[in-house]
Amino acid sequence: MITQYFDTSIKKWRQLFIGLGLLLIVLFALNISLGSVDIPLSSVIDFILLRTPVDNSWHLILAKFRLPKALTATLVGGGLGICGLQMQTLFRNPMAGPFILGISSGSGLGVALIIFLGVEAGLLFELSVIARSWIMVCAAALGSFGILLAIILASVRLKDSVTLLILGLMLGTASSALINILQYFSQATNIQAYLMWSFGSLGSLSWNELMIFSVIISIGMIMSIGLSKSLNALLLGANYAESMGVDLKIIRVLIIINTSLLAGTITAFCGPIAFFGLAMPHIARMLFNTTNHLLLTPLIILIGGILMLLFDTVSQLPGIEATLPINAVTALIGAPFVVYLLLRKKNIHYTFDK
Amino acid sequence: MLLGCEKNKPINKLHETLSSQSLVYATKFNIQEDHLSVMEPWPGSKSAIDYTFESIPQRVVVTSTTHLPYLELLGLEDKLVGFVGTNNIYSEKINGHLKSGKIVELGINGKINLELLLASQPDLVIAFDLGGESTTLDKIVEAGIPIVYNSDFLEETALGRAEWIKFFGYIFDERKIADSIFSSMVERYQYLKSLTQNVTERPSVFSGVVYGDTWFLPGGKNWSAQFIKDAGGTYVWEDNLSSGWLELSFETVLDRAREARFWIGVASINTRTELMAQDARYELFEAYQEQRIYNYNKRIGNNGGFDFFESAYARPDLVLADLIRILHPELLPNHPTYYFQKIL
Repeated sequence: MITQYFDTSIKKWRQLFIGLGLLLIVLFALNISLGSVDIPLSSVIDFILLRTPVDNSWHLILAKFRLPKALTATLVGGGLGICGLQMQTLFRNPMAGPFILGISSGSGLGVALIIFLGVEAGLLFELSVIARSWIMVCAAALGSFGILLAIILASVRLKDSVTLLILGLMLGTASSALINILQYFSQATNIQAYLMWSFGSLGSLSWNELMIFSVIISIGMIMSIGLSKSLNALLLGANYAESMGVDLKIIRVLIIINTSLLAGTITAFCGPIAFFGLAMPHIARMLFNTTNHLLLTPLIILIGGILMLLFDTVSQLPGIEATLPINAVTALIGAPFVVYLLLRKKNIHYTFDK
Repeated sequence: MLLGCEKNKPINKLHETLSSQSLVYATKFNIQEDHLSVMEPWPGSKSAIDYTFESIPQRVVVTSTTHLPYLELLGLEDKLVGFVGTNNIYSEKINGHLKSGKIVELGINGKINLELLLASQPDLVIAFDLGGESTTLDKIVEAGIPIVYNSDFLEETALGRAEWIKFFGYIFDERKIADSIFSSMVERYQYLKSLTQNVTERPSVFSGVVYGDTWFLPGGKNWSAQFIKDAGGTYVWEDNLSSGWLELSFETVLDRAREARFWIGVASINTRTELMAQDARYELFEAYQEQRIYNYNKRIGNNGGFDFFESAYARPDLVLADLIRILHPELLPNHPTYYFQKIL
């Protein structure tokens, strides 16, 4: 049925994807051109066309700061959006997001342990041969995958998705409580370092880190496209899915692994980025009026990237030397959106109550 | 003894000998014949608080490591009975008192444990309040222990902050000693400053490291910018009008400071390898390539207390001498740096 609909309107969708692709390129170029340092458009064009640079400083800024940041933003936006979509469908809950299973709290706990205990024990400085940022990334990844492992073990035993959801919330709350206790016993400078991490950052990835980051996120995105068909079946209800020959247990575990891989990696490298994953699937559903995951998944990868590039451009406050934390910008635009969702609740329920 | 907020109190007998010499640099407190006024007890406070003292405090609790050097300079460390967050203390003398049990730990992370405070029976608590809403401090007053607010951190000049030694001098009736310590320090500061007045080359300086996406730097009118100027350097953000702190992006700092000669104050980082481990893009700075990076970690206690954050506010003359030594070594060939060190 869905494929039939897809066939008849294939031309329309193709045009839409090409349009969104072009928009992504435009915003990518805009994001690279605008920043706190005023770089003339001609230099940006020189950079894009790989011509020999006029001012070396501008070239360095474009190559070492803006390009990796724009790539990171594109991947983060799409990745978080997909996580949100998968969680909302899996739990049949419009308020679910990528961090609903406690993934960000788990990462936070890993980072907090490193910052608060590692620094105090002098551990970080002795390990300074290994890049400090890698230690943080590994700690965050270990934290979120620890939570993930608990959830997967539970998901094999538990049949009910709502129970899983509550388990995730509990694990997340417990992690936050531990972070609070660690903070209470820590020095002000460490608390500041942790706060900075929790603000989120798109611009601190080096090319080396970005290489690994983009490989993992790409794998996660490809995996999500592969899962789209099963998500469509899930949307029609568990019984219907089983009647179509979908093994619910395996699909559930695969979705959780996929989300954790994406959200865990993003949080590890960029910190917890708020609201994005929750809001993105709703924006996509409303804008394009479809609930078909085969379309939604690539759509969200595209508009997630587009919007994150836009938010990042805003957070750089072009022309002003100061910057805003990316988390403040996403949440500032995300929070009113959640309010808007609540006011239109009827409309959202319709998505899940087929 | 009691502290009050009333004006027009009878002249205190203890302070009869006081001269009416006013403060030179400090603007956030004021010494009158009969009372001590803290003009802005916490940030944004509109009304001053006046304190009168009927006797000299004998058992005192202070809440910031920056209060300690004033007590030590005045020889008053014996009166200290409690401290909040003792693991931050650098001073050897005070750590010795801590070991022998003369000073009690009153709480971690700046949070005062009320029961421990009451048990240490202080007759005065010298506190600071960053936001004007500290409920713990209200509780202490409720328990009958007098509090004096110290807002030295609101001073906008380094000498103004150091002049708070007179605040402690007044409370403990050591005003003459406080005056003489301060005026000789100002003399040394002015002498050091005069050394750099005719330097032909004023090397450029920037500071700080990036946290997340944000690089924190002192504003152009911040007192650390004044230090750089007095030491014969040029602060890269000299034209900035803020007396607070700037939150800049890495690219802005790179754009302005790439060719700066000195990079002074790289937080807790001790080696260039550590810098690289944090962010490889630091290597783009000329100061990095030419190894002219300094931190203020020469004096760190066994338990991690930074002397720079403890005593440097009371000793601007030493800070200035250090900076001159770094920027113009030929002017102070015999002064080894006190707080600052080169990172390799």
